[in-house]
Amino acid sequence: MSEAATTAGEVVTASVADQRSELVNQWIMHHVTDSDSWHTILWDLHLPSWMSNNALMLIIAGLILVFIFTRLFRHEEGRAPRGWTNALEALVLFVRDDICIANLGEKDGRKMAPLFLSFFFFIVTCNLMGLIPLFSTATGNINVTFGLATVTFFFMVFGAMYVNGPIAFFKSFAPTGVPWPILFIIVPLEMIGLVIKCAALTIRLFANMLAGHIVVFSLIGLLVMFGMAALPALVMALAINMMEIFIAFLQAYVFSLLSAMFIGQMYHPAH
Amino acid sequence: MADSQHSAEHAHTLNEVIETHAVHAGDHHAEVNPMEVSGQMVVWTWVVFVLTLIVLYKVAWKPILSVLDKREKDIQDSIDNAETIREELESLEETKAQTIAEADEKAKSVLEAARKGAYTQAQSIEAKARDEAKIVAENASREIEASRAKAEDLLRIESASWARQLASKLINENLDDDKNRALTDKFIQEL
Repeated sequence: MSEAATTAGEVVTASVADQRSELVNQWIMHHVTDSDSWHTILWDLHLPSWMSNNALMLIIAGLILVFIFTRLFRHEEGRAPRGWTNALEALVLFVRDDICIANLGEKDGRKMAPLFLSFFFFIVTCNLMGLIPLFSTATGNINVTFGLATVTFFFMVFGAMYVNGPIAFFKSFAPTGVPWPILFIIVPLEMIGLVIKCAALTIRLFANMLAGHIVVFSLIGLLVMFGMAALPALVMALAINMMEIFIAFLQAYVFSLLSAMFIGQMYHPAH
Repeated sequence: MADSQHSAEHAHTLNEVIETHAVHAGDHHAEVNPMEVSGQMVVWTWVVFVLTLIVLYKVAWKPILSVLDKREKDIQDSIDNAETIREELESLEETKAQTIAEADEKAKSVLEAARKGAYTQAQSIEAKARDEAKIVAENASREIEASRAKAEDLLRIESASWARQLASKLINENLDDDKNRALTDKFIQEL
């Protein structure tokens, strides 16, 4: 009788553990996917159907950027920049010189700097917001990164048409000096490559953000599953979170840099 | 038996707590696919990104980039200015060195001329002094010669008169004496 009870108890415990791991799984997914509400421990906001959590995060990111560049960034005539102004200026200069001008050339680089500055600062803000409690990661949503990559695609196609003319744009798919039968293979490949570059941009940013957050939440989930025994996981979660700060900047840089490279290749097909 | 049932109940309660407070049951998260495609979200991204781009272009990128360009230009101008000033300084330095060299040359020539003049003057003064000394010496030796001749003459005249007087005295007093005669002879012979 005692044996049977123990088995029954174990079965109950096992089913409870299964249920809990299911709950932890749901908890993780809840935190890394888009939803129609914004729960925090402070408020519980249900959003209308045309809005979503990540859309709200995008809007907040935009507002944060406007705030930063109107309130924290100050240029005073005849005075050396200090503090925030200096830090932001260094980033602005870096984006302009090492991303735009380096890949697009002096003229186009300067002209297109605002686009890449927006890319960089918008993405880095979204990435960093994901690391702050209360906010979620909009760039961990594939639709957001797809939306951003289509902007790059737009400039790769229409920007190149505008700069080089439509004929030169289509000619750039057919490299000179190649025997004409080969062109039947190369031209479609080049066109597919154009799309794949943007798909790669989409997946790279999205997957990096999603994976990083899943790792952090999984490590914290271990605490829920195993209690105090999993306390070292919290230290690891903290370490991963620190690395995520670096990755937030790195991925924003990579996205801007690759966009600039791809657009630069389309603008200057000779290279 | 009671213990295991109790811990199972406790675990069950904990699950309920987790479900209520962390997972928000009813949201059906398990069915959510992180790769889910949603056109609405893409449109949101475009709208928000383009709006952010436009607003930031107005309030941030345009002023910031123009300030940065202006600063770059200012720094470049300062560098160019510094180069010009350096060149000017260099030419000034050259002029200075040239002036100093000229002054040095002039001073040297003046000194040389002065030294030459002084040497010539000293030479002429020496020659004049030598001539004068010669004249003085010649005059002196002539005078000495004259005095000597005069003295010789005088002495001759004097000694002749003395001899005459002596002779006359001897002659007058002791002409007879043989001894005196011999003496007189001796004197005469000695004269």
